Amino acid sequence: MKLTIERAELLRSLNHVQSVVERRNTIPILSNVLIEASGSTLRLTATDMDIAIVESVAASIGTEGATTAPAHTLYDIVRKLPDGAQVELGKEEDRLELRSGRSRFTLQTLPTEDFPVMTGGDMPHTFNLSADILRGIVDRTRFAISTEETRYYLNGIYVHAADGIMRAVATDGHRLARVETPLPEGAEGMPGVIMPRKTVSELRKLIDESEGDVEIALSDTKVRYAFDKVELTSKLIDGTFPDYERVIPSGNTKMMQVDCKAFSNAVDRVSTIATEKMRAVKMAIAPGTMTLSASSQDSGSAVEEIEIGYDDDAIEIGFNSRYLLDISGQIESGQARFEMADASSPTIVRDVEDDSALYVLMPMRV
Amino acid sequence: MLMNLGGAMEQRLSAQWARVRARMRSEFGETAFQSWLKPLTFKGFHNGVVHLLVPTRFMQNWIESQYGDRLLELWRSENPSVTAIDVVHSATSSASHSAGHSGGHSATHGASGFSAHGRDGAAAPSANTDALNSFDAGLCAPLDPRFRFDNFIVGKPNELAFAAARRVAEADNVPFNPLFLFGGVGLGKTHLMHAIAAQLRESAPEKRVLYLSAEKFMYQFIRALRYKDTMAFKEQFRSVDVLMIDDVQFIAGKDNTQEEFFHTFNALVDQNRQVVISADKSPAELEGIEDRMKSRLGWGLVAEIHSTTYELRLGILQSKAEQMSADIPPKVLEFLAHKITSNVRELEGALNRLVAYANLVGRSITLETAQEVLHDLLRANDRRVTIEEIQKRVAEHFNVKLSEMHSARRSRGIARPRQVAMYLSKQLTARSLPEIGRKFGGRDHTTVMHAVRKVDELKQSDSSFAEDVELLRRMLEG
Amino acid sequence: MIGRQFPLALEFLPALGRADFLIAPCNQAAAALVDAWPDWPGPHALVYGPHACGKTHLVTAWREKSGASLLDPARLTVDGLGDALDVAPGTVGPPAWALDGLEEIADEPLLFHLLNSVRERQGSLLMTARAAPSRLNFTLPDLTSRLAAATAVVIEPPDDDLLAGLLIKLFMDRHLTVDPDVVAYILPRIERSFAAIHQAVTALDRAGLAAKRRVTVALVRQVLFQ
Repeated sequence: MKLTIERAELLRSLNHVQSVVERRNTIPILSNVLIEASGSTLRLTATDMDIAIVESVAASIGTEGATTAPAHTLYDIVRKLPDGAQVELGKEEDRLELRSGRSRFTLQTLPTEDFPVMTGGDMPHTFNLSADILRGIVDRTRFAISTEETRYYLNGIYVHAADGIMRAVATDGHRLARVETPLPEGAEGMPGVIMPRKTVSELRKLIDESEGDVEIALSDTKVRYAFDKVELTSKLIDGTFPDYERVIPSGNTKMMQVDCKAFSNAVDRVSTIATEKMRAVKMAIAPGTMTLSASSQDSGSAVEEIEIGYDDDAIEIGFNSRYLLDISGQIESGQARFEMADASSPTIVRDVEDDSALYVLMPMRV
Repeated sequence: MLMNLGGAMEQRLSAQWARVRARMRSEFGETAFQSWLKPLTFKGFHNGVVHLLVPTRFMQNWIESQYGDRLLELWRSENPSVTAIDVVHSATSSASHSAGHSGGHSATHGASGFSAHGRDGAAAPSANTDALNSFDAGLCAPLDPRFRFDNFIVGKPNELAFAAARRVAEADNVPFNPLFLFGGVGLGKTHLMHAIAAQLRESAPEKRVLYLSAEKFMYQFIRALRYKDTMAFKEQFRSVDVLMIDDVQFIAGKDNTQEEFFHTFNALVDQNRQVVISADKSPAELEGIEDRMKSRLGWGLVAEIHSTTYELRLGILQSKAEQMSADIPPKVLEFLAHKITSNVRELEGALNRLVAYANLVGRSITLETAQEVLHDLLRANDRRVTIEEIQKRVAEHFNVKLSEMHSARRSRGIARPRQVAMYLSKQLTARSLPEIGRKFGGRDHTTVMHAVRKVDELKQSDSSFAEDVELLRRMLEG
Repeated sequence: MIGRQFPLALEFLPALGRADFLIAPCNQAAAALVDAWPDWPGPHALVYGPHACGKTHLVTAWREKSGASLLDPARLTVDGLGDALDVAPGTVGPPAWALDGLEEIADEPLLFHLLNSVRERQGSLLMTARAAPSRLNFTLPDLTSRLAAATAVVIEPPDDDLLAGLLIKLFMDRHLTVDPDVVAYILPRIERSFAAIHQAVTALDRAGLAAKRRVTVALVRQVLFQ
């Protein structure tokens, strides 16, 4: 194998694939990236056994061939090379030689036959989503994904089809985010699937550098996202998502509208006082005004008033301030509507100008 | 698909599996075996992996986590080439697995089926469709094939009613009209009316016999009113040869229905058509029925079915037991005839329940089974026994002071009764072990567990002790 | 600290198939009754036992087998009875109905009429109740005697093995993974009733979700035994 490639091209591709490689691996081959040169294309593959990323990039190939080399080391080397440099990769017996300008590196390789191939298998459901829509789905739900490992079925975004709509849902048991988008053609019979957290975050990085459509293929156990030059294949979480629709209240009548910027600034200030772990703030809501307050035995107390749109009976309700900030960060129009029942029941938060997303937030006892 | 096993190999593996199962059974006990291990089926052996099938995912998880290691060890001791156990479940969701595991769980309830004799009373689908009155299947209630004259047990309390009913069923010329049968609930009025209808259909198929309950008469009439179809309604009822209305007290206070019934009744009696009426009271005592109606109801023969006597009840039970071909000791029948005095239906119901239970769980019928199964009928109430009562009874029984139940003394004469009381508290109440411990002088739940184990052991080794404990339990249960 | 953050009431559908029903001496007869259908001694059968003992589970399993339609005791009326008992066209096999919660019916003549109608239609009716038929406080003599004649089987209080199995099953119904030491800790300390086991698992699930913690012995101690 012998090839030459632009440093920037190689760096970008390596950046994509190396990020799935775990820092510590008990199986040495999983630390490596698979490098395959054929025709005029260089293919880079990395996997952690649950996720595999394959990227193709143009290169001038002298001799075709393949090898594997430590992904992070290779990435670090290329990253430190000067901008605009040309990189030469060559396989010498069981070593990979990298030359660029006056630098020369020799890396240990492992046989390509040992590199685990993650097969997608039969993926009966295929559809396209624009990168923008996919980004919108991911960004507005991923913050609510649970990290508690015994509830593994909450460690991802649940995506399912319902009545011509595709729904993405994430929850950690304290809050829930649900985003809807028209069901893309081809997704009609798709199973409900749970995309693991790590897959979501790898996907998110890839979306940022792409435009146009992403082709998504699904089976009961795997998902594949195909971008222009990159393909991400991942196992799905093998579990059942809870019956989440039952926790979305339908009879909340106390409606409050608030400017997100003013609200989140005030929440942020007041919560400085709240103890680090609980971060509870109390909202005393009355017609026209909300009084935010927090107190802590150690550090004192804080109060701030803001203007709101509200003309129902006064209500006091407490929330974890971090959750309030997370949700107000998702409201693009800047105006949020809170739909409340009482101090111990779920509250719904929406963007007043956007019906596609809905957030459910459980209060705290304050 | 798993490897297709060759004959000899297959035999060897299934013998190994049988031994593994037997060892699991003795190691983990009968309940655990029945719940978890018995439903396991052996699917095959391939590349060192034993494949086992369970009906549900829940069982799969539990078997893997609780019994997986031991299963593997046992398999390996049988067959050293086994390297792993693979447990799969045949159903992916509880909603859709009815088809998948019918073979899997049928093994867990071998004693479930009712034997043929338990079924003979069942209103078997379509069995009596043929017997349905051909002239109006919709109006006439289906006849219960169990209700015939030849299985009606006659005794002093019902001999007049029985004779009168037979007369209606047999003779062309009945000297009384109407026949009014009355008596408390469940004494056999419906039985006699069905028997009349059944016999008439056999001996005089040309006669139009209509049997229905008064409530059904009422619903039919209300429907006719609603659909403005009362002419057809009248027509239907006034063209029968024999009309039998059961439980006429149901139209008490329903003035319109009563009015219509009165006219129907008169029309039929005037045309010399036979009418048979049943009620829970005599005509004169019926409440909410107009006086003119009452007097007309009493024109013919009024026959009372009196409450049962012990002899009649025993006779009924004996006949019923024979009919069910159930093997019931005479002592049990006597016991039931003695204890369940309310009415025949409840008496038969109790016997049915007892036989059904014995068939369901595969137990023979004894006095003990009867007391257990019919506890609600035999006891005045289900009051739960308290720990305090247990302590009191046990202290009295063993002749120790009640305070010793809470004391710290450990001499055997005192510790043993205390352990028995703890044992019974666990058996007879739902209280938690720590709570039981607290009530015995602030003892720990492990002390209670020890007491329970100790009493269990002693019951095994000392039969008179076991009888003592059993006696106390019975007394406390009331 | 437990209890300040309210958790969302996230739930799963419990496993209510026949094979998911754990058999023990105390409920053996009830399960056998369901299995024996359609070979019942009569048209009316009743399973009775304390709250949360598995009556609804058996009804669900029986409906799966018999195709019985569920009668809603709160909505049943005399006028609507005919419609409620209508069998869907194309139904094969004997007609069957289930009535889960006999004590919810206050209209005794209605119940009496229902029992008669089921018999007349040569169908089967599986009923459930908290107590034996003779303890249900019905007063209409015709009704009580008919109920007394139903094939009634009891579910008795659970034994230790069943409590253990049930505890595990309920955790799994909630997709909660617990170590055996959690089960071993709870069992000797808890009230030995069906209801207590259900309440305990619900409380632990909610507390774990609220605190974002695994269900461990430490959590159990805090939630149930303090």
